[in-house]
Amino acid sequence: MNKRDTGRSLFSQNTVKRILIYGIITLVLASAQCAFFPILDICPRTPDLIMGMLLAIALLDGEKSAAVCAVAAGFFIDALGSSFLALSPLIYLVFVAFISIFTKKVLKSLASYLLLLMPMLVYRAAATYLCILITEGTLPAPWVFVDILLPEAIATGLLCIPVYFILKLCSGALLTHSRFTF
Amino acid sequence: MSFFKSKFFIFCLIAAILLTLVPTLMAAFGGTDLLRAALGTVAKPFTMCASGVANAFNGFVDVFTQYDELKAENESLKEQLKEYEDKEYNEAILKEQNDWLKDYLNLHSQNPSFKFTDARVISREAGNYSTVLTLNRGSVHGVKKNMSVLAADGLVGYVTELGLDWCRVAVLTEAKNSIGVYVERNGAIGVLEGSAELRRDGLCKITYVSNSDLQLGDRIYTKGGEGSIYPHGIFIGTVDSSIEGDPASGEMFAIVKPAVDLTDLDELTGVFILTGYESEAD
Repeated sequence: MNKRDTGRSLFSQNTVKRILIYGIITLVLASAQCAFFPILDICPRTPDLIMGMLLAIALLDGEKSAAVCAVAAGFFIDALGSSFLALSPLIYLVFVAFISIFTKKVLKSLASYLLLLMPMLVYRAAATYLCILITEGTLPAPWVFVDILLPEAIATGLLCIPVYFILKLCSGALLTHSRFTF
Repeated sequence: MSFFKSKFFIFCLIAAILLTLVPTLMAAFGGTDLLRAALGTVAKPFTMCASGVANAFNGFVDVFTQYDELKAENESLKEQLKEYEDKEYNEAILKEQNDWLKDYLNLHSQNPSFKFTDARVISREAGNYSTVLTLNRGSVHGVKKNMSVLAADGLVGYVTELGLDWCRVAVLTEAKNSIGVYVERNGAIGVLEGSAELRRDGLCKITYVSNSDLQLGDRIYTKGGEGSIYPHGIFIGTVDSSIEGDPASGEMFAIVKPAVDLTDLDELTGVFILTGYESEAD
């Protein structure tokens, strides 16, 4: 009885911590993604920081935490930035599902994160191209690649590295042995 | 692969599909998603803060990235300003030349036989008892004593003193001036004289007019002829006021206002010296 009470209390505490920490990080990164980088002159394309965050969460905290964050952050990103097409929750959730295949097989380290950034960037590019096809119709593929996909991938790849460290720092505040469950 | 099959993932997937479909369909059909609106409101301070930081950062970056561009633009604007200043200065000179040529043309068309030389007023002396102009033309320019000096509007005076490259002109309102004149309207002959009392007002008087029919506004011209330093037919001015007659002799007197305003000598900058006419007094 005592064990169960202690366990329930521990679980609840971790869940609240996760919600708070990931909620704040999501809010800050989404605000940066929707309001900071689009205005910034030196950044030609907006980086997808949320995807970097989801990768880091999936790697450091597990795919369940990442899946919940993917749905919530996707919805939040759409609420802030999207005017018509609100595909982000689905795109992010599929990404988490896709990346979870690899996260179990690698170490929780920066090298693994950098390694997984490559498929993440490819996935992001595919998702962006899909959105372009839906909203803009057919555009010249070389132009889309050079002018949109490549700058977006470079910006995302570079700016997602600090995101990993932020998540790594925050993961210290969480209990590493527990998993996000309902 | 167990994650894909887990209830957790399926639950998340359903949530994601709902959160994708509902806002998209609502936006497509013109509805308002209250949850999205609420989230937007919650995030507004963050987005405003992010925008502010981005704008400040842009401004900071611009100092470095656009410095050369701004410097080049500044140089270009300076050059343009100098160009415009030069243009404005040249336009002023051209306007002055144009005015002078217009005056010259006007005078020459009125008196085709006259030969002029242009001169600039370099000094003005308007003392208590005399009004003298100094011009930048002298004997080396062919100017001689007693030559007539004209402006575009009419007679100014005559050359009284001569240097190598300068000459002095006594204006026609001077008391020592006495010019034979005629009235254009009726040909009446008289004498135009300067007067110490009228000089300050830039006026002179016409006396000994033989014809009793002198009227306001009558135009007065130089009579010329023998003994006169002025040629025939130079416009002097108009009868202005104070027409008086002497019942005994039948002669009339009147105040004449010269066509050239001799009260404001600063306005008088360019004149013409009549070199094609030599007076007998020379």
